[in-house]
Amino acid sequence: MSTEGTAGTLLDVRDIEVRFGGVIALDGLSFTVARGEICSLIGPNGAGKTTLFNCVSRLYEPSSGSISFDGHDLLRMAPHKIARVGVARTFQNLALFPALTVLENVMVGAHTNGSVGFARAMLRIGVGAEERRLRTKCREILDRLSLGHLADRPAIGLPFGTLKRLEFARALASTPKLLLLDEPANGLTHGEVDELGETIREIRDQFDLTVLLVEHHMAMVMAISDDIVVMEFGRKIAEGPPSQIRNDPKVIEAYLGAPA
Amino acid sequence: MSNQVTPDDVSGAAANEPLPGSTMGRAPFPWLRAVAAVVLLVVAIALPYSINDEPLNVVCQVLYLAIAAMGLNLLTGFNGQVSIGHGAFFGVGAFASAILVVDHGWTFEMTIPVAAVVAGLVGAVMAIPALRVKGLYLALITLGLAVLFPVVTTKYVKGSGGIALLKPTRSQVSSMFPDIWSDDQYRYFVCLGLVVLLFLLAYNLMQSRVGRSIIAVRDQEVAASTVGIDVARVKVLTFAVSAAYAGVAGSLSVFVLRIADATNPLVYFQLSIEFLIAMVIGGSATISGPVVGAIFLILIRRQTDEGTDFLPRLLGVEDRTEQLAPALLGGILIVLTYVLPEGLVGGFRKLKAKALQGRTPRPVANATTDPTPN
Ligand SMILES: Nc1ncnc2c1ncn2[C@@H]1O[C@H](COP(=O)(O)OP(=O)(O)OP(=O)(O)O)[C@@H](O)[C@H]1O
Ligand SMILES: [Mg+2]
Repeated sequence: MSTEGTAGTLLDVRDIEVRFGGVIALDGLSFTVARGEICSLIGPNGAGKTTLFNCVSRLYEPSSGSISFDGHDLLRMAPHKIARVGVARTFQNLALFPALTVLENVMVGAHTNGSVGFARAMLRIGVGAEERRLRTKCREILDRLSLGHLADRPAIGLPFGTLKRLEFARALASTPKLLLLDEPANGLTHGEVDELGETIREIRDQFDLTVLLVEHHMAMVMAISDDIVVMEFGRKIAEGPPSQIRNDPKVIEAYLGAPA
Repeated sequence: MSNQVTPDDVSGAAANEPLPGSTMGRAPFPWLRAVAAVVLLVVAIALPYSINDEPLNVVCQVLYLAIAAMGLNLLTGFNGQVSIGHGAFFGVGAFASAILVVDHGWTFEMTIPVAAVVAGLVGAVMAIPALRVKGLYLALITLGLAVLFPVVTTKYVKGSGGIALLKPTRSQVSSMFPDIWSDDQYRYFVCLGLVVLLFLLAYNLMQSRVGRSIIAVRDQEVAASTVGIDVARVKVLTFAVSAAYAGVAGSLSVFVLRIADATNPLVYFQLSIEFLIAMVIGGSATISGPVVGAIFLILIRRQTDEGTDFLPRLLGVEDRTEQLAPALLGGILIVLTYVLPEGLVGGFRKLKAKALQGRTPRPVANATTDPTPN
């Protein structure tokens, strides 16, 4: 893209193609996310939204294209290095650590904020201070997301909506620059969805984040997004601010159907 | 391309059943623990003054079995990597010590850290193929290791008589402080000291960022990697530490029994199984479980072995005439695992939790256990 775009661009996805056997999940997808914005990725089931997330977290290998993030070529990095440059995510169908408590799950999320390795851990060198620091930080995040009272409960057995929020907390714990949220409102009631939308905006401001959001709740997407990318069959069919997307005939035909 | 998760890999993760095992925090009565620890310590210190010779030797066997089971538990219980090959690391430690003492005249005590390092290195090398496989396949690969170990050892290690059997002399494993402790008392205290040390190291490990990542890798490998955990590194290092524990146990076995023997091709496989049994009886993914399990395993074995010679059987150097004993042992194990599926320590924890406040039972597990995130 032009020079004008790069200074403000945090994530730059270009011509990404992913195939699963005969299925083309992403078909030359390109878009950019500007620093500090909330960008939503919408589209019907199977459009390829989660597949894109999996490319950014290096779980899927695109057959072509490039993804650059904050000056890093993500497709040349190992999956575990992605968190260290500042990308965190949640999973559509949850991927928590069931044996650990709620607090411990978030502390694992803060993995990149710690430095104790095997030798130091076994000899307890610097462990106490690090544990206190991580625990304080993660408790604050839990409190911020109203999960504080569950801190010492095992993650297994909590309701789906609570666990989605826990995934959110775990992702925040790494102090990311970019947060990928895959259907965070799934499993929430209407009131909770509105509240979540507000929380996402507040947290974006408070933590200086950029958010890439996948969500089917149109009201929430329209309310909080700065920019929306609409996908269908692995391709981008429209991009723009909510006011424009709402009235785009292609979008209405392909996806929205009913007015948003 | 490294570490790419293809759809096949993701579904393969389904074989990894989550295990229980958060080790952090949650001690309702810290003083009760402290009292228990002091009582245990007093008993442990008084023990060699009230028993000696053969019974004390058996206690030493409990101690090094506990070390091996603790090490296996770090790998299998906490990290989810099943190993039936730990007998081989035990053997590596045993032969490292025996060779240094018998052929090179080392002081025995000096060989223990060497045994740990050598077994740890072999473990790290083994961990690399282990990165590619999981569950049953990993069990099979490690099983191969346990079976191969005596074959390789027989080929390269020749003791007197040209067979893979090394025996330190009595003076090579004698007491360093003969004025204070007799030989068997001294050996007991060395074993006890190492159990305590290695217990504390394992406990510390699990109470840290590293301990959490070891469990995270077991429970949800994909998520662990997306939060920045180098899954391969955690697996290899856990394997190495775990193998080093088995190596120390093997070294101590030579110290206690004065023999390193690879002439029977099945001994190290049997040992692997015993480590697993000790771990499971005691409660996998608990720090103290393997120690409790080791005590029980030896107790049960003593009972079922009534009337037969105990030491030769442990070493497997003599044909068993009594065929009933293993069956009896097996039967007891089946009943135990049926009654206490989470092991003795796990069962005790449950009981304690119930007794404490009749805490509300955990709701049914739900989607958290879904191993295929997307
Ligand atoms: N691991 C996989 N193996 C095979 N096909 C896959 C895999 N992951 C995704 N797909 C296919 O790729 C396409 C895009 O799927 P994806 O999960 O990205 O859609 P989505 O936009 O996230 O949909 P939803 O809104 O339902 O979550 C679908 O046709 C899906 O079946
Ligand atoms: Mg999806």
